[in-house]
Amino acid sequence: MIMVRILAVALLQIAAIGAMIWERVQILNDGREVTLNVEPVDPTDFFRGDYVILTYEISRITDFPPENGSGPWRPGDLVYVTLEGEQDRWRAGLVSHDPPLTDIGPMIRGRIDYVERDWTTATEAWAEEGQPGFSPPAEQKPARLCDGGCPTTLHMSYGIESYFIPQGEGRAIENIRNDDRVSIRVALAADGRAAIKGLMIDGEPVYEETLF
Amino acid sequence: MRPPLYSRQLRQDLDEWIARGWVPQTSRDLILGQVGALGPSRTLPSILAIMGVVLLGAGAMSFVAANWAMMGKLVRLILLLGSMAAAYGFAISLMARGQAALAQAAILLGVALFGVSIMLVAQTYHINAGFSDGLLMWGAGALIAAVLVPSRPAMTAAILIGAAWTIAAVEETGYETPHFAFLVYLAVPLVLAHVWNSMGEMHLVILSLVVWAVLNAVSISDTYDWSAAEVISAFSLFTFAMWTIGRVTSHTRYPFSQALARYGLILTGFGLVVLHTLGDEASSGTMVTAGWIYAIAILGGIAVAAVTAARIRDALTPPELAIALAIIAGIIAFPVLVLSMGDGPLELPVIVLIGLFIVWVIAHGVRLEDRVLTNSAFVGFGAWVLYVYVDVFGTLLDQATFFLIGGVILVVTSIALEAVRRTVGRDHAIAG
Repeated sequence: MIMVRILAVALLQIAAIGAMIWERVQILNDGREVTLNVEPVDPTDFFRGDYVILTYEISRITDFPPENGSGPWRPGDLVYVTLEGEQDRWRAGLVSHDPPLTDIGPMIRGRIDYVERDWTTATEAWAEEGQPGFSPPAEQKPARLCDGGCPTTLHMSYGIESYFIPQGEGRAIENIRNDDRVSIRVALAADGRAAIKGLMIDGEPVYEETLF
Repeated sequence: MRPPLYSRQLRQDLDEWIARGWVPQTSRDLILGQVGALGPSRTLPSILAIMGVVLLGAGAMSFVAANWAMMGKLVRLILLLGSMAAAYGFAISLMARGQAALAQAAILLGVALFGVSIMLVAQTYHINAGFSDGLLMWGAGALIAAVLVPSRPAMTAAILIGAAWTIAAVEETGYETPHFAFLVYLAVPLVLAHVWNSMGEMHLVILSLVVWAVLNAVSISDTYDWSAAEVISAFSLFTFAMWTIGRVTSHTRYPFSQALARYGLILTGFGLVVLHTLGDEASSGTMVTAGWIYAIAILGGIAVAAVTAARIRDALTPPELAIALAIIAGIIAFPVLVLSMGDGPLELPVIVLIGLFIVWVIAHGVRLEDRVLTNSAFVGFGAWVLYVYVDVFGTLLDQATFFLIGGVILVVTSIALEAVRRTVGRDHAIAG
């Protein structure tokens, strides 16, 4: 009986890894392709060999709905970003906590890492405005009023911020990182999940991902 | 099952008592069997096997990482899944041959390789999303192994991985969102520790809970608008309730009563110290929050019911019951008082109350002959004396006098504590 149980554990864990692989393969195989410009750097992870950290233009979003319209923007929130633009210059479009109801072009799903806020928009003096007994203070009312400061930038991650490359080759990519010559081909699933298909330099593929 | 050190000591003592004629030879196995210490200890082979497994896991990880470039994607995936299958196959084979300890080590290897596979598949497909999600997946796999097999090494791994998961998850949200999901996760090891009667897992569960509480204190305060004093008082009342449950179950066969009681009192002491150090950050707003009142009502209700039941069962003396009720009242009152009068007037009374609390813990530990609790309280008392001296006199005296008097106080305190300890030990010896 115990042997059957160990077998069950093995099958469950192998199935979990299999599902992880299958999910990636499906995105790579069926996903919609977009190309994103990046600014890579090259740290070395002792356990995982060389990889480049990829920061995209859409990693920092400054145009998004105000908090009172779309709920608070908090670190860890899952958000959906539509991509607007052309062949290889995709930019962030609409940002929402919910996926768009209709297909309005490529969409990528990400998490908020950090919310940058403008603390000058937080003021206690005007917080009670509209309440009974409120009298306008001497200081000027700020253009926007947010509890704890208005969010100005959403720092995002989409699960495509690392690209593992053969050991020792990271340095070469690092050397050209500041020349705006590196871009990444990304496959997008219908629900916004993203997977890296390849790394390009000057628009030419340098690393191409196979399914297996 | 008692701790290995206790079992070893009992074996040695029994052999000596039998030699002196105090205990009949025929009783030896009965006594050892009663405490689960009969038969050869498997501790060393188990430890060696598990250490070997850790090395094998690290070796597998390093091997794949080092040969990453040379291997095709398919080869890597086959290697990862194959090694997992091999580890569990090895475990089945060992189990069939009756090598249970080694089989458990092989299961732990399987769990380790499951984690390695998650990381390396993520690397292979450049997945960067949710490091904490990967840890959760690994921990869930370990939990499944622990429950299904069942496997204590896998359960230990699951608790440690779970702790890493909650740390990563809290960091990913910038310490802004309480990570309650970990409490649901931790419920499984908590239940299994009871089912298996396993003290090791219980220690890890309690320590993980402490780590969680420390990590989430700020986010709970921010999310529910609790003041710092409300958060810490709820934590202190929770840990004090642990002590009360430990006491009320002390005369039963519940195996964790002593551990709960010890952790409860020691952590409550820490909670009281934190309450004292909050200063002007203790309170915010003008009234206590409804959520805190609900939490306090539940925890306070449990604690009061438990100490009352403990008194009825003679697990607490009447003075101890009164002191316990006073501690519960004090913990509940602190956030209310700090709102009405600020932290300033409360500073000195709280220091004094912490000192009295430590003295009471020493007395309580001595009464129960609980050396761990007593020694912990002695250490706490020494730290308290030092803190009071630094806090009260540090700014009043010049440096040389400060150190001179401080040294004298520490030496005198240590002599006094040693005298108390020897007296207590002699009393116990006479009583024994």
